[in-house]
Amino acid sequence: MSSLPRWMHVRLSVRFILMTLLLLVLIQTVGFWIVQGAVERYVREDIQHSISVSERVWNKLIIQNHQQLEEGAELLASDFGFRSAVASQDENTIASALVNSSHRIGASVAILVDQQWHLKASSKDDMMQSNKLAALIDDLAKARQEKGEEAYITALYSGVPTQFVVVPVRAPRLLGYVIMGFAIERDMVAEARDLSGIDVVLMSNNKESDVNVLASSERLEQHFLQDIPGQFFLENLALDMRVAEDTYVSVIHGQQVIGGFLSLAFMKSLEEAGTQFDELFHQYLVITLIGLVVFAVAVTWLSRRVARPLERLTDATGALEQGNYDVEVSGVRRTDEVGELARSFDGMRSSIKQQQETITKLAYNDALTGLPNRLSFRSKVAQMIQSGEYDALSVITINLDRFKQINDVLGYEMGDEILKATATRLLGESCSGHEKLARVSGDEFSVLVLPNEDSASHVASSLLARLNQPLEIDNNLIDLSASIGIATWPLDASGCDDLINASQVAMYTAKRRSEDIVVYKSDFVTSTPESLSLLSELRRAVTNNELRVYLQPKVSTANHKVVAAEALVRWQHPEKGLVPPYKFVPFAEQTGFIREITKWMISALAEQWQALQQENRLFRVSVNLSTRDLLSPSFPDYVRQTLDTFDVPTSGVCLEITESAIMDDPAFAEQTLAKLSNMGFRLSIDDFGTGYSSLGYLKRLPVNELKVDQSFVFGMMDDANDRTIVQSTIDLAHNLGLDVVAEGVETAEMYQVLGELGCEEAQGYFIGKPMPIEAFLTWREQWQEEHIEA
Amino acid sequence: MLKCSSYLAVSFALAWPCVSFAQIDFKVVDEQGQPLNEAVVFVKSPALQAKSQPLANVEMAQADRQFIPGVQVVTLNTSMTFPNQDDVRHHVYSFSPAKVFELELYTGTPDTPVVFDEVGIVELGCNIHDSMLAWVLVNDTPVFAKTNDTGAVVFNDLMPSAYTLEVWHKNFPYGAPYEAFTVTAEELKSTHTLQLKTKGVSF
Repeated sequence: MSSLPRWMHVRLSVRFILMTLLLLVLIQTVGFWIVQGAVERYVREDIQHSISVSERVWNKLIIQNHQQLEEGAELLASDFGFRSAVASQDENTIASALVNSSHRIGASVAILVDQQWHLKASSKDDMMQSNKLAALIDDLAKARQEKGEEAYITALYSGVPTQFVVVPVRAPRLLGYVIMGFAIERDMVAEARDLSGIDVVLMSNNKESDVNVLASSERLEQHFLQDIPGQFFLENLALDMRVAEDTYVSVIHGQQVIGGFLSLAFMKSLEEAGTQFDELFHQYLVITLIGLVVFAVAVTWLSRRVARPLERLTDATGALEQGNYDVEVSGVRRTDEVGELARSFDGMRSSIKQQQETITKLAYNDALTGLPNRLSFRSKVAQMIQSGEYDALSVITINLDRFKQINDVLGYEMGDEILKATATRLLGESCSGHEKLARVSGDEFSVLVLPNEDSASHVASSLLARLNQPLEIDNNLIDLSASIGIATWPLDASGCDDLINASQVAMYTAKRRSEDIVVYKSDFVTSTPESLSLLSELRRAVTNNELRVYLQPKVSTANHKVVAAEALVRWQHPEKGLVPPYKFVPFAEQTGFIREITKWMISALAEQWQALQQENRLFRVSVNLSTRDLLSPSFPDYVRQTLDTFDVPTSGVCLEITESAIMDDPAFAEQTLAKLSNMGFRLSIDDFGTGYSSLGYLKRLPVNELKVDQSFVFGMMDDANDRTIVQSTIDLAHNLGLDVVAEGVETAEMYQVLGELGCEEAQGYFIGKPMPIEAFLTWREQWQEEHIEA
Repeated sequence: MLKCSSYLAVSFALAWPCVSFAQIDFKVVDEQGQPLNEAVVFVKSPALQAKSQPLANVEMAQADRQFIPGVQVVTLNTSMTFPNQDDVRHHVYSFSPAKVFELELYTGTPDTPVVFDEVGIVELGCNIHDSMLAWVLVNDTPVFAKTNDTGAVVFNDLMPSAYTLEVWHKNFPYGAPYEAFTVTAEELKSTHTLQLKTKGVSF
């Protein structure tokens, strides 16, 4: 488009008009060319025709003249008196008779010769002795002999083209001849022109190069007096000749005659011949101009008729662009193509309007429950705050407990049913109408509480009471519980987002504390900014190698040998000193950064693993894996590569996984564990007893040992139940072919009892606390010296 | 017929006082030597010229727009009538120097005959009818004859002597005079060839 001339970019209607007019002009121009060509051809043909007519006219004139002259000469020759005079041989009388006769019939010269063509008398006394005359007579005699008595003889006489006639004089037999010459006069040329409309020019050139021009027009005479090309006298030519700014179509006959050369030119001015067509061209031009005006008006009108509705449609689409879908597009009732376009535009408009409504609904509503979504809820809260009608607003955030497990165990369809039922229940409470309730995320609902209603706590209580009632879906009775957080504007938050966040923080607090309803307090959020900086600090810790591996020994209860160690991460913060795991590990779990820490741990351990080995036996090191590690598909490969780098056998490493980590995605976890087990790793279930894993599931896992949670080990000494749990767990593990490790062994009694219960390995402060590798190596030496008899 | 009878008359008149006559043969040829038919040969000598007498009752009639006869030979001072036997008028004229005359439009026979009083050739024409042509040959001798097909003419009753011969033929151009020859005929029989030099005779 950019290559088009600038004017092409103007409006369609203007282009349409311009193109149409241009086309018209083009057609007219082409037509004009064709007509002009035809006219010129016609004019030329006409001239050619006129010239041939003129040639015939000229010949006719010559013949007429000749005959007329011949008659005159014959009349003279047969005149008795003249014959008498001739017979009398009286030269003076003969000469005067010749003069008289030539005057009578208009001859320029009259000559009498005898039978032998000897000059006898002439109308011009002075010519009697002229050689020229004798030569002329000879030539005429020869010409007459050659061409016959009827020949039209033309000769140059005194430089003038002259027609000669020769008639015999008899008395009664041939006495001689009367020769009479008639100069071709200008009036003959003029007559030829008058008869045929063609200019005639007679040019002569005697042997002395005296030029004589007779032309039917002054202009041509002047032209030829200046110059006559030699070939004009010698050839027959047809050519276009330029004469004073004008072109003449010319036909020229050159010939040699007695006494010199003659050239007869028939000429017609093209300009003059074309004059009759000038009017035609004039009319053509006028018609073209009128046509242009009519076309311009008609096309403008037509293009307006087309362009106007288009402009209106453009306006209408402009309105659509602005988001105004309510105004009907004009022109839908027209029956023409524009109407069709308008109708389809209008159809588009209503369809877009409908879609817009659907999109809005989807954007602001939750498809599953039909409740407003987070976006909608947020804008409503913001609107309420901004309206200034209320001096306080509360937001209640309700999160269903254990919803993930429900989803996992009972399936997503059931989960959806529960969410729908929950929404219905919440809607059933008068305090949380449709306009105030929203499903803000998967299992989370929010309720807006206005100040003139019941207090937020009261609303929360009643909602909770409602939720706590058992729910029956597809003959399954499900107990629901929920954690609820409450926050109030402007007390707890300054704006809408803060308010919602605050209620969520309160809800999380409730969940963490296993409380039902928690009202927001500003204390809850102090950790938040700290957490944000923590992540970047942790990244720095990994790159700057601020992390440390601490080892806590595991001892075999049978022979008190240090058989393994659990690797635990510590953070040697350059400013804060040694940071304990609970201050950053949960955070790392939450953000996923734990994967980096795990990798670091495995890499660091692999590097040190050979140093930890003792003679004759494999020293196992355990590493804790998080849910994130299990769910990372590339994790097994990473571990193998790292161990290969430091030549560490997989059997030398034990991977500890918490029961809850496995239960986050049991299927995938099982897959990953199978892969790791196949690779030769020893697998251990950490904190066993705190989770919900079924025995059936446990049985399927390719694990090698169970670690009894320290809470049971602590209580074992005082609580018979705990002792029973430990005993059962150990028995169960043994039955499943698993080894058992006890954590949190703090006293010698506990160690002894665990040994009695059949627990294979023990770990705890009684044996040794987590310590750096160098310290661990030293401790191990010492322990083995103390507890193992040589 | 008229011409023939006068010729015979002259012959007998000449023969009468003479005892012995010579026979003289002539052959008339043109420049190329071809025999000329119908050439008129006059034989002249002082003796013969002395005997020349005007002829009587000689006429040049006009019938069917032609002169009859076409050639009329007469002796000097012969009077000639011009009877018009046509029902149209004729205008007989001559521009010949030997006798210039004009008989203006007439019917019947003009009252005054024309006397040819000068030796010479008179060409006659009619001003009305250009095709009409005749000659009157005037000479001062009674002896003349016409050549036959072989161009020959014979004179039997002439005295042996020297003669002047004058020859005319109708192909002679306008104004040409008789062509003259001198012949001496001493023997009783002699043959002479007359070759004409006048232009325009040959065909």
